Amino acid sequence: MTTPRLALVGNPNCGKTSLFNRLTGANAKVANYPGVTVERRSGQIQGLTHSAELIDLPGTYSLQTTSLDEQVAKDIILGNMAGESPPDLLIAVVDATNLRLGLRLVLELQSLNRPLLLVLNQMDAAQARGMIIDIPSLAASLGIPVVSTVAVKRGGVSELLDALDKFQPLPAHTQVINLSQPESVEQLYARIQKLLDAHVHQHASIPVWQDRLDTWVMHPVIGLVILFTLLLVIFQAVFAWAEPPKELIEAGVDWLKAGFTELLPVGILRDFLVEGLIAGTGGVLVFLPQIIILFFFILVLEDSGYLARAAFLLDKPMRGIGLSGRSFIPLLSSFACAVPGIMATRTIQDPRERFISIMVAPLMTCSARLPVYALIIGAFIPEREVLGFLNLQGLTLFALYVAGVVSAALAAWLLRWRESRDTYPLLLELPNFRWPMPYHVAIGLRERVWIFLRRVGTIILSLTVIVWFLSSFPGAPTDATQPAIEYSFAGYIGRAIQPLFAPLGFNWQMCIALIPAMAAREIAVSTLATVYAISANAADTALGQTLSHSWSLAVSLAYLAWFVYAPQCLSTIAVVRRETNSIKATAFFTAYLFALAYFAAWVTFRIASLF
Amino acid sequence: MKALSTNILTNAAFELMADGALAAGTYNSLADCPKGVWVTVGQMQSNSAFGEQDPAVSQRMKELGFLPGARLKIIGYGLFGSDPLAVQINGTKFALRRAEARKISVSPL
Repeated sequence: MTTPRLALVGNPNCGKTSLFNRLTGANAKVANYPGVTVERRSGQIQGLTHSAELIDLPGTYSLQTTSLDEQVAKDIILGNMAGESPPDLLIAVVDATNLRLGLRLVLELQSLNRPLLLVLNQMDAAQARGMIIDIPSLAASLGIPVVSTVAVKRGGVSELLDALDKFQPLPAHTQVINLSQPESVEQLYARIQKLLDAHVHQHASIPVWQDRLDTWVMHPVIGLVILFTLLLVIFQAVFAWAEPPKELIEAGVDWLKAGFTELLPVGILRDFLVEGLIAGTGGVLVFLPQIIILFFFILVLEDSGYLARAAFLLDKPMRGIGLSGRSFIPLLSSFACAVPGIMATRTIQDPRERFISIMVAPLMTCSARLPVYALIIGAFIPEREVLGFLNLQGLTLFALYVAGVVSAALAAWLLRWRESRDTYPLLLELPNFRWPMPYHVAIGLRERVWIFLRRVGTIILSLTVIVWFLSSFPGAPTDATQPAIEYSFAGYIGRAIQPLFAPLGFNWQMCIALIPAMAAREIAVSTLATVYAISANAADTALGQTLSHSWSLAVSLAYLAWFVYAPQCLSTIAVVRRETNSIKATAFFTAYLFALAYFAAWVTFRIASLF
Repeated sequence: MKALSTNILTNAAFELMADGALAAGTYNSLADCPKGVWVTVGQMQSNSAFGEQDPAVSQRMKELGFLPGARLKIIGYGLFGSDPLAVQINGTKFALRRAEARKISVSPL
């Protein structure tokens, strides 16, 4: 017998993903790209007597879809997704505090004539608001099992697990999906009103503190001040809080280097381990604390319900450049990684707005660029207090992020001419504020740490080995007058492409780092670490110090400017190809960002050289 | 000084008039509603600004609960020009633009 496949279906913001995390726990198949669920994520349900696969579908209000992500949910529910049969059981998740809206989708799902189970999530919040739902009688009226859950609490899903344990999948031949739409919206809501009147005593009202908070965060002026203060605090924290754990990792890497240097005889193995493997991967690993801090803030903001308010505030200004509040969340998640950000553009209904969002998403500084920024800022920007409370390094980082955002705005504005514009609605739900759930944030962070470590352990490690090899062979001739690396393959390749980058002031070491950075931007750091470790022939100096001796300030700023725009990593280019389904658009995307990078680095170098 | 106080008085008078106009229910759609006043939703109107999308927009708005009889209140505005606006309806909050608001006919509670 095959493992039954169960699918979570529900409105956006109903707490579906928290429920998914709670049910699949630490054993969920880690999706490549966390964040807004736009593709199916799946995992084994923990705590059942038999095994069952759980699928988390993109949030949807209706089966009459208006965007691509809703279409994905519908296709999976109906079994129209290539190579997938319809799920054996639909688990409809409804936010108990928002019962009316959620039940509409439930009634629509019920008309499909599929096995269906209703979960009333966030039951604790509903009870706290004085809502009393008679669950057995509601289940009797609906004719489907109904359970309540509190996904934020440990043990809050036990009732659901009991219900799932009793579930027996129907034999395939009895599964006929009913596609006719028997009822209008008005009729559905009339039925919902009857259900609510009969089974819900005392309707929930929005708590006063939520309304008060909304008057502040949605205020046109104060709200904007709050938004920018939040962003500034995040960038300060990325630098300030990360310092102690970062120093700890650096010390560990140095200890390993020293240990191997002492332990092994002089020779190729020692060079490989110390200068290649440890210098290369260690150089990237030290940025783990900063990445954790950045994602901590993104996850907390996402979980709290705040992001929809920010999208609301920014809708009008963003419309001026061909985007809208709907593009805010995809663009914000591009700060973590452009790949999930570009996938999240499926929530945008307007095709032109979606195209523009895809084109500018990579200008939002992704976390892979953070190691490059952090390295160069750490080496060249003095650690100084500005205005008594701001850190100059943190401010520089903020400026780089702003440069990306401003460029994105300009690029979007220029792209507006494309195609005539139809009007699409905003219709954005502003969900209840919620305390971010530590368990959910912890699972999200665990995913990010795991993805980062996996990158370090696979792609970054293997490219580091290749870079080390290219930098070490062939060895220097006996009559060598320069460091050995000048005679290596890397030296030749670097010098061959260097003339192309000479107007930007880049030396050949910087050029060679740009090539493997196409696979993952952090590799620029590990490549520089390896190249300079070999040429210095002394692995004990920190990379930052080495760079501050060998690059001028103007060149380092030009290098930073380059990384604001390019190189776009191959996975980003691949996802643009998939989501636009156009080679022309992908080629345009790649070319325009390279041109921008070249131009920005050139201007920066020229201007900075004047001082 | 005198001119200033007259000005304030005139403004106050305008506000009073505006309130009176509200009580009489002279606004035709949500787009004309002031902030903070509860109103009752009427029929969904078409808005040519949405072109071919209009029926789909109406359908989705109805699905979200913008149906005759629902109580609704404007709770805030976005940056510049009172567009978009945030409303509270059936215990849920939504952000929508003036174009959508024009589709919702309303009457005083």
